[in-house]
Amino acid sequence: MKKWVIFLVYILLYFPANAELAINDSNNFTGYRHFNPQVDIDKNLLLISSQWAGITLTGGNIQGLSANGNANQSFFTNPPLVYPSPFNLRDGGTLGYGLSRNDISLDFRIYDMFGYEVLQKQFKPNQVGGYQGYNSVILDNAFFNNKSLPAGVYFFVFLENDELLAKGKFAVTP
Amino acid sequence: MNLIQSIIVIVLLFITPIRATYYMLMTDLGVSAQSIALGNTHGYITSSEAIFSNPASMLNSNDYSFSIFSSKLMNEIEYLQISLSSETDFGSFGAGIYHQKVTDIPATILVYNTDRGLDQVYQLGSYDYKNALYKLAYQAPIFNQYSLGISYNFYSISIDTYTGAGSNFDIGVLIPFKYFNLSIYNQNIIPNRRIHYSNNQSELLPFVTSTTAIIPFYDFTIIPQLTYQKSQLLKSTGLSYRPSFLPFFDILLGYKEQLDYTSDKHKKFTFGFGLTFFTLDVYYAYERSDYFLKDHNTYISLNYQL
Repeated sequence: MKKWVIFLVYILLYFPANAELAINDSNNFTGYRHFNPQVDIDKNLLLISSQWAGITLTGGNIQGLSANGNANQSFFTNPPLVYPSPFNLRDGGTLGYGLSRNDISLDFRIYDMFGYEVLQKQFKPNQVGGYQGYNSVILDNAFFNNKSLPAGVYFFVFLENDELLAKGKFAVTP
Repeated sequence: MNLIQSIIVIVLLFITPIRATYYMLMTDLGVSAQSIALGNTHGYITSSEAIFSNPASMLNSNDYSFSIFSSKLMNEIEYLQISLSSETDFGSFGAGIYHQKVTDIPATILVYNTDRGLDQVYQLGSYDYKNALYKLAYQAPIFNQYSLGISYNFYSISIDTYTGAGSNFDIGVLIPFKYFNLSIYNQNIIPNRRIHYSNNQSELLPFVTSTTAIIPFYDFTIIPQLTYQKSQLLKSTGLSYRPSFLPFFDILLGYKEQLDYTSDKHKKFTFGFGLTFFTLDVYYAYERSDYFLKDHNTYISLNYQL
């Protein structure tokens, strides 16, 4: 009987330890493996604390790391995200995303909260926004053609030949 | 444009700062499906939602009126308008809220990737955007013929941990003429009032003035409108058709020029219809969408009048 209890405790302690994180060559979390695929634990990972690339993160739900969210994974290696969030035009922001290819032109469009298109840009291959690898596009007054941007939420899409590759949103403060 | 209009425009150009960052009025979307279907024209609506348009048009509302309007644009932005109004011996009173909300905006962190030697952006949770306009309105007849309406606006906005607030007044009149009614509606009449944010920044509340003619013609009502907003003139027109043989049915058409968030002008045609079931009005509006993933926007509103 005692052996059975020890065995059950061992099973309970051992198998959760088998659910491990997967990382890519850049030390970024890309997914996790679960010992029992029959059980649905497909939820956001809860990060308690992590030392990662010299930066310590504490608390919060990590989202969008195990999948590419609203991005076409065959093209976007990192989903498009804006930092800081929210950002203001005085200090500017960064739109970051990773591309697996550099052989097509990206059509980038931004919409306001009435659904009107307020900006359209082309990111051509091997130019800013169109490099293979990680791209950091500076969102400043020049990017928005020196137009003022009222506080609100803006929505963007990445297209290629009218096919949606990725979408997202960001907020702006004054 | 005649001489008087030219003078008004020139004067307004001088009193309106052109390079200011303006707070975006969410009511520019339209205050109800009926209003949107009629090209965002003012002065024609008679139910309680008039408090978000020209409050002087509450003159024609019933003893009690309740209105609700809801829409979700681009599957992301929730709009909700709820209003009440009541007619008393001292004039009509109204109150309401207009709400705009977006959820799950990615909160992000910047992480230095030592292998690649660059910063990368990652998502760390999410936050919401909420914007609300609270209204209190009063309407009373003046000089026996005219209607005067005034409303108090309280604006409240929150973006993640940032908050902003501000207030102003709207004023409107409705003047009857022999063959038409004239609506003059001015928004944010106190100059240089701002929305003040918790990060010590501010946005100017824009002064907007709209002049609208409401012209009945047989079973039709034609509603041409000229709006001056952020140093630009915007033309709109609404057309309502209520056939005499179907007095519970409205066909609505509209054309509007509207400013986007960057103050660029857009033109749009709108379409809708309304059905009256005793004391309940149901309105539907349709317009084409610019958004790549949505072909059109639809709006529904309900008015209950006693």
